[in-house]
Amino acid sequence: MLESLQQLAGGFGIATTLPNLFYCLTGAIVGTLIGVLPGIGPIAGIALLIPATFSLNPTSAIIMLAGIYYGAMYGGSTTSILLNVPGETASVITCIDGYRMAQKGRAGPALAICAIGSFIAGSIGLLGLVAFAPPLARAALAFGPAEYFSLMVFGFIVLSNVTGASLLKSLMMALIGLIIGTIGLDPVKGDARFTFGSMSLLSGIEFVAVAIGLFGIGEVLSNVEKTAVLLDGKVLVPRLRELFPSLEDLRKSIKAMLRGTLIGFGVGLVPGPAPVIATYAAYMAEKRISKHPEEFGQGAIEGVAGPESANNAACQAAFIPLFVLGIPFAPPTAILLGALLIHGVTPGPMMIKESPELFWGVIASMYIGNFILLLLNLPFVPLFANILRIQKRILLPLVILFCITGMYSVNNSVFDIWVMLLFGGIGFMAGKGKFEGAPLLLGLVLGPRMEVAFRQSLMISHGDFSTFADRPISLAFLLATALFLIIPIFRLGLKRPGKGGASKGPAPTN
Amino acid sequence: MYRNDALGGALIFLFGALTVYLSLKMPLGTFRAAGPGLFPLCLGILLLVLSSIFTLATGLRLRQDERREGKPAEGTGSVKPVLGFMAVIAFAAGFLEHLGYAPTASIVVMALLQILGGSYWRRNLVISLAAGAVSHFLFVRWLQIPFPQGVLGL
Amino acid sequence: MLKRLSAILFVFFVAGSIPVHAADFPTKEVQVIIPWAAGGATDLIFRALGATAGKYLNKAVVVVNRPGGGGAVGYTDGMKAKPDGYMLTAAVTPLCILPHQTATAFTYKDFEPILNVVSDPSMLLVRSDAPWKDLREFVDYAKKNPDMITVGNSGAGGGVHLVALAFENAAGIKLNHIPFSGGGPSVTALLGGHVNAVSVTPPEGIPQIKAGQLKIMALFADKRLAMFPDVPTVKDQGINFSMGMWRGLAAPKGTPQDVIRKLNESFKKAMDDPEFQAKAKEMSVILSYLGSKDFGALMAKDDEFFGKLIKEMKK
Repeated sequence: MLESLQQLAGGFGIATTLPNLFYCLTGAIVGTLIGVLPGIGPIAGIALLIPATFSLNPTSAIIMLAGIYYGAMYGGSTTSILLNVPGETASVITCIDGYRMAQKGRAGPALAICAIGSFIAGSIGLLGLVAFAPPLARAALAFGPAEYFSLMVFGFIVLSNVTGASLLKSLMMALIGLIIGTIGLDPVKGDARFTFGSMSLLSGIEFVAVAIGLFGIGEVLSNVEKTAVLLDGKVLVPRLRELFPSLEDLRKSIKAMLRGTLIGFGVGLVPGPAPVIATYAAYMAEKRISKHPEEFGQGAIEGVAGPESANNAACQAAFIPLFVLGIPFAPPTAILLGALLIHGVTPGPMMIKESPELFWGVIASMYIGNFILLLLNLPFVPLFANILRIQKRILLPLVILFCITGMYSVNNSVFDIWVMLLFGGIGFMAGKGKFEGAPLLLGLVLGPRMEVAFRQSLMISHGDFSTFADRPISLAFLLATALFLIIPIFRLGLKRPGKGGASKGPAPTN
Repeated sequence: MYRNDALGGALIFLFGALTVYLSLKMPLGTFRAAGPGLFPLCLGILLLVLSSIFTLATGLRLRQDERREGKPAEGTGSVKPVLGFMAVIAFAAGFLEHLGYAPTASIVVMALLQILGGSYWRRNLVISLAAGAVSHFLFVRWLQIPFPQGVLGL
Repeated sequence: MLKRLSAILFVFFVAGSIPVHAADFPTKEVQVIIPWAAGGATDLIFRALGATAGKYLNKAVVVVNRPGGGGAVGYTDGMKAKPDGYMLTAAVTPLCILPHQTATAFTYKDFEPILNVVSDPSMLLVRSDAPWKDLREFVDYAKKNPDMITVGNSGAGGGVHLVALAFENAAGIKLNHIPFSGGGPSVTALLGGHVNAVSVTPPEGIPQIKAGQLKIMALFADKRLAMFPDVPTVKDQGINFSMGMWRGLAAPKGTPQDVIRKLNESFKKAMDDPEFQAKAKEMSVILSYLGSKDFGALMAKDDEFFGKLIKEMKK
């Protein structure tokens, strides 16, 4: 441990030379810009800029890439808050309360809390990475297909009702997400499913297209519907009441950030869509713990702080399997692995032993990237928040252009724009009936993985279902799921005699 | 409120039915070696069950409440601009690869601005050309996102 | 003011739209379609090669990812591109696999081979603490316990899955194939002991082998790996079978021969450039140059092989 700290200090020495700081800053700025564009997240951002780093020495290149990586992650939540357009998969949840805050004129605090929360989660996450990486990586290996399936079922049932409207409605939406997730090539056999002969559907429905459609386009359309009213000369712009969070905001958020970090770090060790699950889980946890659950969905700052921290912590934890096992658990780490490989750094079991100075240099540069982003993003807050001052009738067309641009750049495909349009229409309609988009997106993320894990488990066990109950971790998740389902029914049964116990939850308001 | 719920429930029921129908056309296999249709079939059946419970429940409540609630308040907006926006996005999807990025961007912004308030066409033209130019420089030239070049080579 | 601004913008648009014609190829950037998402082995190799090849072409080489349908979307786009040498496609083994699996619009014949860059051998990896000391023990065990050894692969019907199936036939055994969504997850499952073996191509699994966590049970190559000279090929051990994954570059059918020649020369020079050689070594890929004719012959051979194999599999 002491030796590690010494080496970490050495790493900081390398990373803080003037040219390296410059590369980090450049990376952070480019990353932020890329992250702000919906659709293009850390993955595409790093991929686009890998060639630009070829001429640099490995340390500088990695520092610049770390800047891009964190920058893109920071940027993702900006459009969620300002425009209700989730910039990437992990910032869907931030739309719920972040956008409400912006509508109430509190875009500044929301953006600032995101930056601060990400920084805190990043810092703690790095500490966890340095201190506990090897044992945590071994724990991550305990997750085989059976454990994975049970975890997915647990996540599906428990998290689908994230906004707390109605369990039945949420489950239906989540099931629709699961079904949409089966479109494309069967992940096990390779047959085409529900593609109707379309080549573009073979790869399935792009998550980001559905997310931007349901949230961003749906929101723009319902704004447009009201234009007749809006153009009557009423105030169109939400007033910016304050640019930075008050002490009260910080007090409320700090605990949410810490809890979010813990949840994110834990979930981040599981391969697959960890950041998404982590943000949903953190949001639900905050809502459960809060003394004022009715504020959630109306612009509760904890509903931004928790998930944003969880997202960053999950991404941080994803480095553990990369550095200890040499295996990327999630696409963003996969692309970072590729970038590291090109620069002669092979993350994996031998890295800490063979080239400690590089390992610690990478860790230190990641931390510095994180820190520079905080410094960079706080001044950006007023700038971004002021976007909302633009008149809606000018802003809305630009948002649409922004969505089209970002959507195309994800896969370089116009098909995704069609998908985005379709789900924009669905989101607009569903909003009228208070059918939530968040559970659908959860189902869409979990679906394919759940199916693969289910079928893998049964292939390995030769069709024996007891494999799910024989494995302790898997059994624990299944029991927890069962408990979650049984308890409300039990409670409901007790409440029946009293009147009007059927529909719970806060009254939906606009 | 309940009326929308009932309608939504019915639509979801139809979606579930469609899923079940299409899944049954695919090989189902066994659980040991599941075919491509098995998992969607299970999901479809589950969705059918949930949506029928939901639709029936809201249908019952709808009856009870109809006397009390009276007419549901209709939205104050108009559907026309919504359809216009959707048509413009469809235009972008259909013509992006032929027109190239910057022209499509300008046309999209221009059309949307016109939909939202047509009387400032000169201002709108400047905004839309600027939007096309700025985003061309930012995304195509600087970030090097490979957008289609279109007939004009832009 | 507004008028002047619109005039400037107008000039900008018109000026930008004048097409350039020149006799010498290339006059503008050359794009390479990667039919997979960014960050995969193919993507990385061609990003590195493209960066170096830019030097010799005097124009930038831009990588365009068009993922989808296991590669089908990208190949369809690549086939449809104008045959002028400005839109190339990464020709990788699935080009000869996909058309046999689903109804695709393309086959390898719709492309003009330029050169092959990389040939990676396939391998079967097991954990170092596996009960089998060598390939013979593995095969003996599999013969006595058919369908019991679980073998992970990176996706159903993908290259390494088919290689494992072909190996089954060659060795006369039956394995239980478990598909994962990529090489990373399958190697993780092996490390965690959830499957008994995995079928992969480098660089997947290489760091774990170097760290002593995994070992190569079967190497389906004609010659041993320079990295692990002690590991025998399956041919050395009496099973006549070798199969690898190749990654090369192709242009749409109908591209003029002199353009193909120019591209071949430039990319060949890039392959020999020490800068790219160093990057290839870091990535643990095995460079193997083939000219356009030889590359075409390789595609034809593998297309026939996979066609037969998939027909058998589907029975």
